[in-house]
Amino acid sequence: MPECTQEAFLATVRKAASFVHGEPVKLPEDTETARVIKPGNDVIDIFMQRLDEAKIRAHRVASETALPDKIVEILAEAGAKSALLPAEDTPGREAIIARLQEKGIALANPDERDAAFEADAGITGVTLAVAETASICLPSGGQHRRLASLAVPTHIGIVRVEQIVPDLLDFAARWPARAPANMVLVSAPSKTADIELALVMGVHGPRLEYVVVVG
Amino acid sequence: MGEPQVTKHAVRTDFKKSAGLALANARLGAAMNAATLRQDTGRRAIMPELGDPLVVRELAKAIKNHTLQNLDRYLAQLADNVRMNGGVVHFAQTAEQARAIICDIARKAGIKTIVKAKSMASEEIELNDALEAAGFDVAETDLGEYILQLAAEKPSHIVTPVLHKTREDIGQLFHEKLGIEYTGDPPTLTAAARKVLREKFRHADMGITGANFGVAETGTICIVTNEGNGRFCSSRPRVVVSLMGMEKVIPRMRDLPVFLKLLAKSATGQRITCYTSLMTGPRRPGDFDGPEEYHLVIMDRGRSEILGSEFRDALRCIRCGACLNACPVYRKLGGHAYQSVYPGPIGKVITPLLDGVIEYEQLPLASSLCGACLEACPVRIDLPTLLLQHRDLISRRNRMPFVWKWGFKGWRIAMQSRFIYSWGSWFGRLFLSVTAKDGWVSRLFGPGAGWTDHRDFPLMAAKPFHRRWATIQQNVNEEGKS
Repeated sequence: MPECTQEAFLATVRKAASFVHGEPVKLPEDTETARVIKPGNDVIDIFMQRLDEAKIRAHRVASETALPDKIVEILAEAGAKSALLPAEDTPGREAIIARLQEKGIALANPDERDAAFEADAGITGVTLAVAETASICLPSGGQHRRLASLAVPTHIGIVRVEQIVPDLLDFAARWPARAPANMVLVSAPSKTADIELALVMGVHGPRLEYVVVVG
Repeated sequence: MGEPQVTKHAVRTDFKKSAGLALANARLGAAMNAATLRQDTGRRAIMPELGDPLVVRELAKAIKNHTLQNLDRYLAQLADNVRMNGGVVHFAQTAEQARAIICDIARKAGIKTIVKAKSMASEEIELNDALEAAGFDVAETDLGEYILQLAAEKPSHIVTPVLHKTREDIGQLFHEKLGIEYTGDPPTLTAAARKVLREKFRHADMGITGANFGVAETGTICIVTNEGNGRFCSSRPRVVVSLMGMEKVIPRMRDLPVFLKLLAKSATGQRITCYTSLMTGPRRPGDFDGPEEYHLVIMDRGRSEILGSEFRDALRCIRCGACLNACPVYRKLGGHAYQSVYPGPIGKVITPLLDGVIEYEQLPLASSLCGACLEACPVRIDLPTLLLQHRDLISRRNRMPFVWKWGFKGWRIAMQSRFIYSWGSWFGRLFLSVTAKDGWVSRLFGPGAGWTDHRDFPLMAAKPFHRRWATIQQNVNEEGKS
């Protein structure tokens, strides 16, 4: 067997950790001192502003009824002719689908394994959003396709205002007891600066990242 | 325990020679200087967003110190929870074991093609070579790492690995290897790589990632990328393996934001990386996508020796690269001169411990101990002190030459006596001014020759500071009054 047993491995670690090096340190009970954004009325404004700073194209609509038109507008701006059929729990799903069909946007069946590689856009809901870092949190599991926000050149995340939390600390505090296999915080379009630190958008993930805040 | 092991028959790497070659390359020097300065400026600009960054840095330091003191306990908890989530946990004490484990996983699962996200741990164990030798088709998917794979080169920076290459170099490389028309345009080059790698993602049946953090409480492995390649590697293939250096474990989910707040800001001056992926086991029943098998490989490879030594603090490192960008030596040389996986200040400290104190004996000496690295480090690793510890060990290991030994004793006496110090420096200036040119001495003799072999020595000021002090003090006092 090439592997080391857990017992043997941890015995070595235990012996090394027992080497006295400074005072014993207690695990800090409180991580609140790391808070950057406090809860308050301006959290949505901070979120909107930081989305903009992160080069995520931010939109806000008053209610779900305005969503379908907004999505159509965005897809037109992005030059998207097709989109993946949104998952069942996407806010305003039925109306969005109806409007997209009316506008002649092809809706791809996301059950096809390669659908996300072919479609022009993915439209998803989020589990929550973080104002501090302009992040939207996307889960895996059930109807949620990981590639619907990754393999497509344009991704639209729909955020309800009540889903916006101020700080990354709040994201961690809301970690579910039964976590999905994958959670991702998307905080900007895919980008790289590997060649001479020149910023290039859209490496492997979406080049265009949109967030529509509802409410 | 307490001191690093010395391997027998070790061959010293020649840092002085490789540093000389790097310095002779003016283009490299200018590129490295500009790039590191920009990243360092970005870091300085964004850190104040944390309010008092020192509070957050001290918090991160305390969490890491606590974790290291109880590392066996947190690793056991992490392993239990990864298994609870349906993952498989492997333990590797050595690089050979880690390579064998990963090749074995691939063989058993009948893997043909592998996509790899950026991982410094995998660089440590030269995983790609092992996988290729075992017959697997491996593609690096981080743009920088992909360029290096095509060029058969090693990273020169731990975050932005291809800083040493110009756009023209990369254009030529892509022209030769990918058959595209020559261009030096970064967006076009990126698009060409995207096209190739997209097909790799589509068809790969195994993904390999590193691990930025392992959350013990939930059994969650966190990786951060800007390009989205980490997400692809962990989402699409049917088998996913994360290789984690054992010091990457943190106790609780609520500790994670503390580190996420620091990592990207310190690394690239970003508020956070574009994609923060949190992997909690393989796909669940009913999930549409995600890996069927999830493996976590926890690697020691010399880390427990560091843990059980005076160098423990170095294990707090979160691999942000801020100390590289801040270091005046790294800025001039770039990473290749160090001839090690980890360059820069952190590399000077951990490379001798991971890869041989004799082999890399010159690294801890290549520092002016200016302290810029300590100031930049988000988890406040006292790198200058750790470098001094290395030097102490070197001086105890090698018999110090007679001149050094007595020279330092004399120095100590002189520095403690005002009389000897002032007259000594007066005579020193008199002596040096004979050979000085434009205020610099380029050749010293006897024990001083070692200094001027590699740099000029500045001529002391005509009026030493201790004689100017009276005037300075008077001026300051007068300013204070007015």
